[in-house]
Amino acid sequence: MEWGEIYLKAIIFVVSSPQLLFLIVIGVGAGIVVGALPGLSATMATALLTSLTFGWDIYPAIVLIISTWVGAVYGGNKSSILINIPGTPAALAAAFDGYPMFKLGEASYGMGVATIGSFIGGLFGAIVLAVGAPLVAKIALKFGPPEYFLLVVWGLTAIGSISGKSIAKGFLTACLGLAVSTVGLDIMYGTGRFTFGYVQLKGGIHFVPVLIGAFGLAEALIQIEGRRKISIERKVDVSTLRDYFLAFFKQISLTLRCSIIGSIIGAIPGIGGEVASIVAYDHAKHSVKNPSRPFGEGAYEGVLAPQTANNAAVGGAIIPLLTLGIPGDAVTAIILGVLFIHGIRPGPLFFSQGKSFFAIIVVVLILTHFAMLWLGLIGNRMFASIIKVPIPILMPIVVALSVVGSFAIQNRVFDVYMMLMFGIIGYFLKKEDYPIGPLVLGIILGNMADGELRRTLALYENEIFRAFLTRPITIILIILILLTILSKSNFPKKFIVTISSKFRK
Amino acid sequence: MYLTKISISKEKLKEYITLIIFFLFGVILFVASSRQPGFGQSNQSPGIFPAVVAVIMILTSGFMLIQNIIKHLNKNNDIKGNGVGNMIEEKSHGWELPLTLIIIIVYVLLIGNINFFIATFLFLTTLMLFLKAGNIKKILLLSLLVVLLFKIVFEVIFKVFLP
Repeated sequence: MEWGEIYLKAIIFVVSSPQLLFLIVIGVGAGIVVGALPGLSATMATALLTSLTFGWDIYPAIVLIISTWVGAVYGGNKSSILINIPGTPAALAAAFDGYPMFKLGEASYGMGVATIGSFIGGLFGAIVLAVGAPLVAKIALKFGPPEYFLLVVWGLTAIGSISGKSIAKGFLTACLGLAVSTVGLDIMYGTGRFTFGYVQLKGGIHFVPVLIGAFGLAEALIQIEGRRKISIERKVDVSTLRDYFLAFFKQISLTLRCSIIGSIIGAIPGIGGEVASIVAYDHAKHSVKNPSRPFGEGAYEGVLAPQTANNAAVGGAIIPLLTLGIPGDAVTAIILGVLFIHGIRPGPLFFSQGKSFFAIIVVVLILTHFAMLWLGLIGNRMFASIIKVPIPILMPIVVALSVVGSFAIQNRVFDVYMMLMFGIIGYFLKKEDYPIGPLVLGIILGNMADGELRRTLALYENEIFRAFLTRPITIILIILILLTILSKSNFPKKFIVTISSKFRK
Repeated sequence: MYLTKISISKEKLKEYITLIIFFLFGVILFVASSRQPGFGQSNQSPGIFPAVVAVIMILTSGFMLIQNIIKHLNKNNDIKGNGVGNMIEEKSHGWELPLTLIIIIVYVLLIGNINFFIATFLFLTTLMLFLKAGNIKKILLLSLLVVLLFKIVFEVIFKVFLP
């Protein structure tokens, strides 16, 4: 049977089933709420749904889980924009310009642009999944420990260079995050590292309480401190659907480029939406010549780019899951489990046996993004009404939400203490103009960087040059890292000025 | 003597202190990493990665510190910097933040010792009263509504266990 015929049958199968269509809408709606609430993650929601859908048929079960996942990935931007707490780690970059947009009275506009970006990115990801799955999977298969390590370094360099005026300050907070990530039981030696005898520290410091504290609590403190000034600045948003689409059409090329970035990075196991959105933001910052405002001060391009890549990564993440049987992150690992429960074995042989199932997943992913567009645009006004809540009421609620969010992730009061500690650290760092994004990404990617560096050293017997300079992908990644650093540094400009002045003489 | 006394603004001093803290943190991290098992003998030692991070931290903060000092010595025009304005602004309602922080710390410490919903209700009421969010009736009603909403969303719908 040809692919065209398979897809046609898949479309008819899904569209003619009211149950599946209903589950798509319910899943996306629930996902948006989960994504928007700090502390509730896509992983938690899909894990809960796995137990709920255990006795269901495979199609309703997988449809509900995928639509909830897409909704949650998208919904993270709501809290990023409205309260500066990324609902999901992948929504981190959306806060850089989204929250300044909120402060300028453009919350609804920011969320509208994010919705369009997520929709286009998600559709692109689904198309990439349909068309390029085998090819991208082959590239991802070539990634070894040195490539993974450099990919993490690139992610950290990118975030270090994008957030804040000084790349050095970004490096320092990234290093702080990496240092925090090393706390806990060492996987290779099995010994406690920097635990100081505390049993709670043996499990490490989870990134969610840090994220909530450094973004949420720190912001609440800053808002309370300067509340008189901010309350004057906040205005009511009057943006319309037309404005969102105009913004998208102005940056159609950026949207497509970020879709490509998201799909490719999403397809690399273990990397996912977090890095994809950061890299896309970095790309936007360096490629958009005349942004609506300077990046970091409320440029809508700074919301559009990461959100596009974020949702494009969903389609990309399904590629290694189905073609190689490798889950890229916790959610795809849960989906793998669901597939196993229902007797489906993803892997190299999947394409020869499960073409119809694959086509249904692609169709569901596309329809899910249409549902997300619809619900997202309807919900924006409702979410944006948060702007009317005065700071003396909103901020205590944000603090209480931060406490719930940090506790809920592992049911530990210790995590609440961590949230408080990093909230205070985050407050001081923000006051001194240090970016918070690299701190959080450092904690998220630290364990991976640690493990891959040590694996590389073991594999190549300490020959660092052989490990990093004899493989084509590592060379490309090193060039990308250097370009990222140089693009932010003043050194190339000074060098060109010096050289040109010497030539003039 | 005169120059050093007046030429370092409060803002600049804060910047130096932050960088020194980062530098010292890097040094402590390196020392702690070097005490990890197998450090200097095996490339699989748990101290390898944090030591690399510590070195980057020491170099970056050290470089920034030196750069700032050189800039400061060259310009020496920090007397009329932004710091003065900020100091005045902070002083005008500087007591709000420490007290807010104390209320938050007490709330966090109460969690795990008393029921979460009671602690949250008390916290919301106290902080809203302190921040003058409205009259007492409105604040009590709002706190109650938020606590109820938390209970419904987190405990009933999402089955999240709360302390």
